[in-house]
Amino acid sequence: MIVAERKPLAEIRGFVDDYRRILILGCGTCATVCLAGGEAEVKVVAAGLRISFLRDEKEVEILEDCVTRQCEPEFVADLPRKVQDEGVGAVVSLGCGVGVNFLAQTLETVPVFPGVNTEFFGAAVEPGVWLEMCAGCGNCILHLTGGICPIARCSKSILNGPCGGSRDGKCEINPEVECGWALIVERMKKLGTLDRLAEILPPRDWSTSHHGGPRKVIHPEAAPAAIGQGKAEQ
Amino acid sequence: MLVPCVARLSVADLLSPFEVGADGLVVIGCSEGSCLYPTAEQRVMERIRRAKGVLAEIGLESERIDYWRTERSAEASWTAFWELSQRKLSRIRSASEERRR
Repeated sequence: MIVAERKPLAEIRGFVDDYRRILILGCGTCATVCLAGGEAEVKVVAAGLRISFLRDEKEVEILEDCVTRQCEPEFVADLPRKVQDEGVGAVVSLGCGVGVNFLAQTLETVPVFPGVNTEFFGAAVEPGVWLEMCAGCGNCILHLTGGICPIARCSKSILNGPCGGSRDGKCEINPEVECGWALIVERMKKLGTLDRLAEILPPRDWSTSHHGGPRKVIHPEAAPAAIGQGKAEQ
Repeated sequence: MLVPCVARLSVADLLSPFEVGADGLVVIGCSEGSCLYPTAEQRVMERIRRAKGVLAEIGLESERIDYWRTERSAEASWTAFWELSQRKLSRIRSASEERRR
Protein backbone atom coordinates (compact mmCIF):
# COMPACT_ATOMS: atom_id res chain seq x y z
CA MET A 1 0.00 0.00 0.00
CA ILE A 2 0.96 3.66 -0.17
CA VAL A 3 2.51 4.79 3.10
CA ALA A 4 2.25 8.37 4.31
CA GLU A 5 2.93 10.46 7.40
CA ARG A 6 1.00 13.46 8.64
CA LYS A 7 2.65 16.82 8.09
CA PRO A 8 3.36 18.99 11.14
CA LEU A 9 0.29 20.99 12.15
CA ALA A 10 2.19 24.26 11.92
CA GLU A 11 2.90 23.54 8.24
CA ILE A 12 -0.76 22.69 7.56
CA ARG A 13 -1.86 25.80 9.45
CA GLY A 14 0.45 27.84 7.21
CA PHE A 15 -1.32 26.53 4.10
CA VAL A 16 -4.79 27.54 5.29
CA ASP A 17 -4.11 30.64 7.34
CA ASP A 18 -6.01 32.91 4.94
CA TYR A 19 -9.17 30.82 4.68
CA ARG A 20 -12.24 31.03 6.89
CA ARG A 21 -13.91 27.71 6.07
CA ILE A 22 -11.71 24.69 5.60
CA LEU A 23 -12.52 21.07 4.86
CA ILE A 24 -10.22 18.39 6.26
CA LEU A 25 -10.74 15.38 4.00
CA GLY A 26 -9.46 11.94 4.95
CA CYS A 27 -9.03 8.88 2.77
CA GLY A 28 -10.43 5.53 3.87
CA THR A 29 -7.90 3.34 2.10
CA CYS A 30 -4.07 3.44 2.34
CA ALA A 31 -3.89 6.62 4.43
CA THR A 32 -6.27 5.09 6.97
CA VAL A 33 -4.34 1.83 7.25
CA CYS A 34 -1.02 3.61 7.81
CA LEU A 35 -2.64 5.83 10.47
CA ALA A 36 -1.83 9.02 8.59
CA GLY A 37 -5.09 10.26 7.11
CA GLY A 38 -8.20 8.29 8.05
CA GLU A 39 -11.23 9.34 10.07
CA ALA A 40 -9.31 9.37 13.36
CA GLU A 41 -6.52 11.52 11.94
CA VAL A 42 -9.04 13.92 10.37
CA LYS A 43 -10.45 14.53 13.85
CA VAL A 44 -6.99 15.13 15.30
CA VAL A 45 -5.92 17.55 12.54
CA ALA A 46 -9.26 19.36 12.76
CA ALA A 47 -8.97 19.62 16.54
CA GLY A 48 -5.39 20.86 16.32
CA LEU A 49 -6.33 23.55 13.80
CA ARG A 50 -9.39 24.64 15.79
CA ILE A 51 -7.31 25.02 18.95
CA SER A 52 -4.60 26.85 17.03
CA PHE A 53 -7.05 29.33 15.45
CA LEU A 54 -8.90 29.77 18.75
CA ARG A 55 -5.65 30.69 20.52
CA ASP A 56 -5.05 33.34 17.87
CA GLU A 57 -8.64 34.58 18.20
CA LYS A 58 -9.34 33.83 14.54
CA GLU A 59 -12.84 32.74 13.56
CA VAL A 60 -12.34 29.78 11.27
CA GLU A 61 -14.72 26.93 10.65
CA ILE A 62 -13.18 23.51 10.19
CA LEU A 63 -15.31 20.85 8.50
CA GLU A 64 -14.45 17.15 8.57
CA ASP A 65 -15.09 14.33 6.12
CA CYS A 66 -13.51 11.09 4.98
CA VAL A 67 -14.17 9.36 1.66
CA THR A 68 -13.55 5.70 0.85
CA ARG A 69 -10.86 6.59 -1.70
CA GLN A 70 -9.70 9.96 -2.92
CA CYS A 71 -8.29 8.47 -6.11
CA GLU A 72 -11.46 7.23 -7.85
CA PRO A 73 -14.17 9.39 -9.44
CA GLU A 74 -17.18 7.72 -7.84
CA PHE A 75 -15.96 8.41 -4.31
CA VAL A 76 -15.36 12.12 -4.88
CA ALA A 77 -18.19 12.81 -7.33
CA ASP A 78 -20.29 14.64 -4.70
CA LEU A 79 -17.40 16.69 -3.44
CA PRO A 80 -17.60 19.71 -5.81
CA ARG A 81 -21.25 20.29 -4.85
CA LYS A 82 -20.54 19.82 -1.14
CA VAL A 83 -17.62 22.24 -1.30
CA GLN A 84 -19.73 24.80 -3.15
CA ASP A 85 -22.85 24.41 -0.98
CA GLU A 86 -20.91 24.70 2.24
CA GLY A 87 -18.76 27.59 1.09
CA VAL A 88 -15.49 25.75 1.61
CA GLY A 89 -12.54 28.00 0.80
CA ALA A 90 -9.80 25.37 0.94
CA VAL A 91 -9.44 21.62 1.32
CA VAL A 92 -6.71 19.86 3.26
CA SER A 93 -6.37 16.33 1.90
CA LEU A 94 -5.08 13.66 4.23
CA GLY A 95 -4.94 11.26 1.29
CA CYS A 96 -1.68 10.45 -0.45
CA GLY A 97 -0.26 12.59 -3.23
CA VAL A 98 -2.50 10.77 -5.70
CA GLY A 99 -5.53 11.90 -3.71
CA VAL A 100 -4.35 15.51 -3.66
CA ASN A 101 -3.75 15.48 -7.43
CA PHE A 102 -7.11 13.89 -8.14
CA LEU A 103 -8.99 16.27 -5.83
CA ALA A 104 -7.19 19.25 -7.35
CA GLN A 105 -8.43 18.26 -10.80
CA THR A 106 -11.90 17.47 -9.47
CA LEU A 107 -12.38 20.69 -7.52
CA GLU A 108 -10.86 22.97 -10.17
CA THR A 109 -11.14 26.38 -8.49
CA VAL A 110 -10.82 25.41 -4.81
CA PRO A 111 -7.26 25.00 -3.52
CA VAL A 112 -6.31 21.55 -2.19
CA PHE A 113 -3.38 21.33 0.23
CA PRO A 114 -1.47 18.20 1.25
CA GLY A 115 -1.89 17.24 4.90
CA VAL A 116 0.46 14.28 4.69
CA ASN A 117 3.81 13.49 3.16
CA THR A 118 3.53 10.50 0.83
CA GLU A 119 6.51 8.25 1.48
CA PHE A 120 6.54 4.95 -0.42
CA PHE A 121 4.87 1.65 -1.36
CA GLY A 122 5.36 -0.59 1.62
CA ALA A 123 4.16 -3.32 3.96
CA ALA A 124 3.28 -3.26 7.66
CA VAL A 125 6.10 -5.42 9.00
CA GLU A 126 4.85 -5.01 12.58
CA PRO A 127 2.13 -2.90 14.18
CA GLY A 128 2.94 0.73 13.46
CA VAL A 129 6.02 -0.01 11.35
CA TRP A 130 5.99 0.17 7.55
CA LEU A 131 8.85 -0.74 5.26
CA GLU A 132 9.41 0.22 1.63
CA MET A 133 9.20 -2.84 -0.61
CA CYS A 134 8.30 -1.64 -4.10
CA ALA A 135 9.51 1.27 -6.20
CA GLY A 136 6.80 1.01 -8.88
CA CYS A 137 9.46 0.87 -11.59
CA GLY A 138 7.14 -0.70 -14.17
CA ASN A 139 9.23 -3.77 -15.04
CA CYS A 140 9.11 -6.32 -12.24
CA ILE A 141 12.11 -8.65 -11.90
CA LEU A 142 11.13 -10.26 -8.62
CA HIS A 143 11.11 -13.68 -10.29
CA LEU A 144 14.89 -13.33 -10.68
CA THR A 145 15.62 -12.23 -7.13
CA GLY A 146 13.65 -14.56 -4.90
CA GLY A 147 10.75 -12.14 -4.51
CA ILE A 148 12.92 -9.47 -2.82
CA CYS A 149 13.16 -6.27 -4.85
CA PRO A 150 16.67 -4.98 -5.54
CA ILE A 151 15.28 -1.70 -6.88
CA ALA A 152 13.33 -0.78 -3.74
CA ARG A 153 15.35 -2.55 -1.06
CA CYS A 154 18.91 -1.92 -2.18
CA SER A 155 19.96 1.67 -1.45
CA LYS A 156 21.74 1.79 -4.80
CA SER A 157 19.07 -0.21 -6.70
CA ILE A 158 21.85 -2.29 -8.18
CA LEU A 159 20.96 -5.33 -10.25
CA ASN A 160 24.00 -7.45 -9.42
CA GLY A 161 24.75 -7.23 -5.70
CA PRO A 162 25.63 -7.04 -2.99
CA CYS A 163 28.06 -4.14 -3.23
CA GLY A 164 31.11 -3.63 -1.04
CA GLY A 165 29.07 -1.62 1.45
CA SER A 166 27.17 -4.66 2.73
CA ARG A 167 28.25 -5.61 6.28
CA ASP A 168 26.66 -8.39 8.33
CA GLY A 169 23.44 -8.06 6.38
CA LYS A 170 23.25 -4.29 6.86
CA CYS A 171 23.68 -1.43 4.43
CA GLU A 172 26.54 1.04 4.64
CA ILE A 173 24.16 4.00 4.56
CA ASN A 174 22.68 3.12 7.95
CA PRO A 175 23.25 0.15 10.26
CA GLU A 176 19.49 -0.09 10.79
CA VAL A 177 18.85 -0.59 7.07
CA GLU A 178 18.91 -4.17 5.88
CA CYS A 179 21.04 -4.87 2.81
CA GLY A 180 18.51 -5.75 0.10
CA TRP A 181 21.01 -8.00 -1.63
CA ALA A 182 21.84 -9.86 1.59
CA LEU A 183 18.09 -10.52 1.89
CA ILE A 184 18.03 -11.75 -1.72
CA VAL A 185 20.99 -14.09 -1.14
CA GLU A 186 19.51 -15.53 2.06
CA ARG A 187 16.13 -15.99 0.41
CA MET A 188 17.60 -17.72 -2.63
CA LYS A 189 19.66 -20.00 -0.39
CA LYS A 190 16.41 -21.11 1.25
CA LEU A 191 14.81 -21.65 -2.15
CA GLY A 192 17.84 -23.62 -3.37
CA THR A 193 18.21 -21.23 -6.30
CA LEU A 194 21.36 -19.35 -5.27
CA ASP A 195 23.19 -20.57 -8.39
CA ARG A 196 20.88 -18.39 -10.51
CA LEU A 197 22.63 -15.32 -9.15
CA ALA A 198 25.71 -16.31 -11.14
CA GLU A 199 23.90 -14.96 -14.16
CA ILE A 200 24.72 -11.27 -14.61
CA LEU A 201 21.68 -9.09 -15.13
CA PRO A 202 22.17 -6.60 -17.97
CA PRO A 203 21.59 -2.85 -17.60
CA ARG A 204 17.88 -2.25 -17.61
CA ASP A 205 15.63 0.04 -19.56
CA TRP A 206 14.43 2.60 -17.06
CA SER A 207 11.89 4.11 -19.45
CA THR A 208 9.23 1.91 -17.80
CA SER A 209 9.88 3.78 -14.56
CA HIS A 210 9.18 7.48 -13.96
CA HIS A 211 12.26 8.19 -16.06
CA GLY A 212 9.99 7.64 -19.07
CA GLY A 213 7.59 10.35 -17.89
CA PRO A 214 4.18 10.03 -16.22
CA ARG A 215 2.78 6.59 -16.93
CA LYS A 216 -0.67 5.32 -17.82
CA VAL A 217 -2.17 1.83 -17.66
CA ILE A 218 -5.23 1.01 -19.76
CA HIS A 219 -7.14 -2.18 -19.13
CA PRO A 220 -8.43 -3.49 -22.49
CA GLU A 221 -11.76 -4.75 -21.11
CA ALA A 222 -12.49 -1.95 -18.67
CA ALA A 223 -11.57 0.83 -21.08
CA PRO A 224 -11.55 -0.52 -24.66
CA ALA A 225 -12.09 2.94 -26.15
CA ALA A 226 -8.91 4.17 -24.51
CA ILE A 227 -6.67 1.63 -26.23
CA GLY A 228 -4.10 3.46 -28.25
CA GLN A 229 -3.87 6.33 -25.77
CA GLY A 230 -1.36 4.56 -23.56
CA LYS A 231 0.22 1.31 -22.55
CA ALA A 232 -2.29 -1.56 -22.41
CA GLU A 233 -2.06 -3.94 -19.48
CA GLN A 234 -0.81 -7.37 -20.58
CA MET B 1 -17.13 14.18 32.76
CA LEU B 2 -17.52 10.52 33.66
CA VAL B 3 -16.45 7.92 31.11
CA PRO B 4 -16.75 4.14 31.48
CA CYS B 5 -12.99 3.77 31.08
CA VAL B 6 -10.30 6.35 30.29
CA ALA B 7 -8.79 3.93 27.77
CA ARG B 8 -11.87 4.65 25.63
CA LEU B 9 -10.68 8.23 25.13
CA SER B 10 -9.28 8.90 21.67
CA VAL B 11 -6.66 11.55 20.89
CA ALA B 12 -9.47 13.69 19.45
CA ASP B 13 -11.48 13.25 22.68
CA LEU B 14 -8.47 14.40 24.69
CA LEU B 15 -8.15 17.50 22.51
CA SER B 16 -11.85 18.37 22.47
CA PRO B 17 -11.83 20.43 25.73
CA PHE B 18 -9.15 22.67 24.23
CA GLU B 19 -11.28 23.20 21.13
CA VAL B 20 -13.88 24.95 23.27
CA GLY B 21 -11.35 27.02 25.15
CA ALA B 22 -10.25 24.91 28.12
CA ASP B 23 -6.83 25.78 29.52
CA GLY B 24 -6.08 22.27 30.65
CA LEU B 25 -7.31 18.73 31.00
CA VAL B 26 -7.08 16.34 33.93
CA VAL B 27 -7.61 12.66 33.17
CA ILE B 28 -8.18 10.54 36.26
CA GLY B 29 -7.88 6.79 35.75
CA CYS B 30 -7.85 3.72 37.95
CA SER B 31 -4.90 2.78 40.15
CA GLU B 32 -1.84 1.37 38.44
CA GLY B 33 -2.03 -2.31 37.55
CA SER B 34 -5.68 -2.62 38.55
CA CYS B 35 -7.12 -2.87 35.03
CA LEU B 36 -8.50 -6.21 33.87
CA TYR B 37 -7.22 -5.48 30.38
CA PRO B 38 -3.44 -5.73 30.22
CA THR B 39 -2.81 -3.14 27.49
CA ALA B 40 -5.45 -0.55 28.42
CA GLU B 41 -3.10 1.59 30.51
CA GLN B 42 -0.45 1.60 27.79
CA ARG B 43 -3.05 2.64 25.24
CA VAL B 44 -4.34 5.57 27.21
CA MET B 45 -0.80 6.67 28.06
CA GLU B 46 0.13 6.57 24.37
CA ARG B 47 -2.95 8.57 23.40
CA ILE B 48 -2.19 11.14 26.06
CA ARG B 49 1.38 11.35 24.76
CA ARG B 50 0.04 11.94 21.24
CA ALA B 51 -2.46 14.55 22.42
CA LYS B 52 0.34 16.34 24.28
CA GLY B 53 2.34 16.17 21.03
CA VAL B 54 -0.48 17.89 19.14
CA LEU B 55 -0.60 20.66 21.72
CA ALA B 56 3.17 21.10 21.48
CA GLU B 57 2.93 21.25 17.67
CA ILE B 58 0.64 24.26 17.87
CA GLY B 59 2.68 26.00 20.53
CA LEU B 60 0.81 25.00 23.68
CA GLU B 61 2.48 23.48 26.73
CA SER B 62 2.09 19.70 26.78
CA GLU B 63 1.86 19.92 30.59
CA ARG B 64 -1.66 21.21 30.12
CA ILE B 65 -2.77 17.56 30.11
CA ASP B 66 -2.36 15.69 33.39
CA TYR B 67 -2.95 12.02 34.02
CA TRP B 68 -3.57 10.90 37.57
CA ARG B 69 -4.25 7.45 38.91
CA THR B 70 -6.63 7.03 41.82
CA GLU B 71 -5.12 5.49 44.90
CA ARG B 72 -8.30 4.58 46.72
CA SER B 73 -11.91 5.39 45.85
CA ALA B 74 -12.03 7.47 42.70
CA GLU B 75 -14.30 10.19 44.08
CA ALA B 76 -12.12 10.64 47.17
CA SER B 77 -9.07 11.34 45.00
CA TRP B 78 -10.59 13.80 42.60
CA THR B 79 -10.43 16.90 44.73
CA ALA B 80 -6.76 16.45 45.61
CA PHE B 81 -5.77 15.75 42.00
CA TRP B 82 -7.85 18.64 40.73
CA GLU B 83 -6.16 21.03 43.13
CA LEU B 84 -2.69 19.83 42.14
CA SER B 85 -3.47 20.26 38.44
CA GLN B 86 -5.12 23.63 39.02
CA ARG B 87 -1.98 24.92 40.73
CA LYS B 88 0.13 23.70 37.83
CA LEU B 89 -2.25 25.19 35.27
CA SER B 90 -2.17 28.49 37.07
CA ARG B 91 1.62 28.57 36.73
CA ILE B 92 1.41 27.60 33.04
CA ARG B 93 -1.21 30.31 32.38
CA SER B 94 0.94 32.96 34.06
CA ALA B 95 4.05 31.95 32.15
CA SER B 96 2.09 31.81 28.89
CA GLU B 97 0.60 35.28 29.42
CA GLU B 98 4.04 36.61 30.30
CA ARG B 99 5.42 35.26 27.02
CA ARG B 100 2.55 36.77 25.02
CA ARG B 101 3.30 40.19 26.54
